[in-house]
Amino acid sequence: MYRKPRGGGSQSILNLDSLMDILSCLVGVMLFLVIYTVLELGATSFQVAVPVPLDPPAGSRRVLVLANGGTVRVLDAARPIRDLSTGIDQVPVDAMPEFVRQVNLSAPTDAYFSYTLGYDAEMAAVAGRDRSFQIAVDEIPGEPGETLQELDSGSRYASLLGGLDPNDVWIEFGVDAFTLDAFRRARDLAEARGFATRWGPLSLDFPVSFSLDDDAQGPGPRRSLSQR
Amino acid sequence: MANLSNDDEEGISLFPMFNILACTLGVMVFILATVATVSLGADKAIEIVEAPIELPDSSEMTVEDAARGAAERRRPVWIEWDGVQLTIYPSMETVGFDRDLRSFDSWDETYAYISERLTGTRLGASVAQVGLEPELRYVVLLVRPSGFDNLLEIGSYFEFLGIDVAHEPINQQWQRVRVN
Repeated sequence: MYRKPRGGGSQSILNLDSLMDILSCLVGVMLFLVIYTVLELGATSFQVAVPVPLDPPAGSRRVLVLANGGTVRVLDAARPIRDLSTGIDQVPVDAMPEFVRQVNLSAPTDAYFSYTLGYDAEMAAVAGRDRSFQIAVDEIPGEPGETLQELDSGSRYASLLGGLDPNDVWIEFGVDAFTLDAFRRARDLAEARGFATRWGPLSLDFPVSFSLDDDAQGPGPRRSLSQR
Repeated sequence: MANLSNDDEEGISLFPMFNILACTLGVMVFILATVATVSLGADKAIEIVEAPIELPDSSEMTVEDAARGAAERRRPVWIEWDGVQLTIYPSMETVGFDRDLRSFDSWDETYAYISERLTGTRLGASVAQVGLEPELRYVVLLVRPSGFDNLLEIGSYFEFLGIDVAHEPINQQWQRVRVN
């Protein structure tokens, strides 16, 4: 009687156990990846803390910090305004062009900007003497300001803040769409030093001019009705 | 005559197994791409919280500190502004504005238009509720850069209603914003 041989080489070649091992290993890795993805999707990138709005200290003056083009620069126009306008009331109208020329020979500068005085005789006749003076602010070449990576407690920005008193000064940030991260870092540094802060959208194309009238503060964001 | 062919060889084919393997690998590649995207931070959530106010002990508290304490007790209502629509968090209800808010000749017309758009909406009801309780609530406007140009108009409207408003810029590409 013929009996079919049991076992044999072909059965061991076609054994699927090894493929099952690979498959179960891959499924395990997939499950791990799915769990990791779900956890990552639920994670928070970072927190943004919104300060409760408070009024600036009474009698304090504003200092603009320009967060434009990816960098941060302090634009404190108070000293240049004072320097350029000192003695302006005593100058006769006829001598005004020469006075302006002389003043501009030693025009004030600060860390990032230069300031010059302008005079418009026609405007003086139409709108009055105060309106006839403008201060032009321009960037100093090679002083682009500090980027997000450069802003820390040892930065130039921090040292400029160190020269200001939080009881005398509040900080207004002029922010464009490309500098939001640097603005947040700069605001954190200012608040850590006790400054009251505000911000507003602002994108300046230099040079910019503003009128030297009674409430001249330099350029800044548009103000809402209650802040004017 | 003996048959040398093996029936078992004809009955077992590995091709279905390879199909499963290829399918599994394809899904893995897809998941890896997703993980890579997530790891780069393209779709991470941003959490926006109210910064706490640090106050001194009650014995050393000044009048200014007391005012700060009162401000601290107010709760924010989070509203996003992107230049064309307001979205209130966390319910994500929106009200759209099809006209540019800078196109009006006067503030009265601007406010009338905004009021008209908000009237009858749940977002408008929430804003009205804040206006009734200004000592308990205030509005935080989360402003996208696309809303910078007419931020003054929408912010002034809230102030017109007697509501205190804080502005906070948020990046244009942030898609998953949470408030707390």
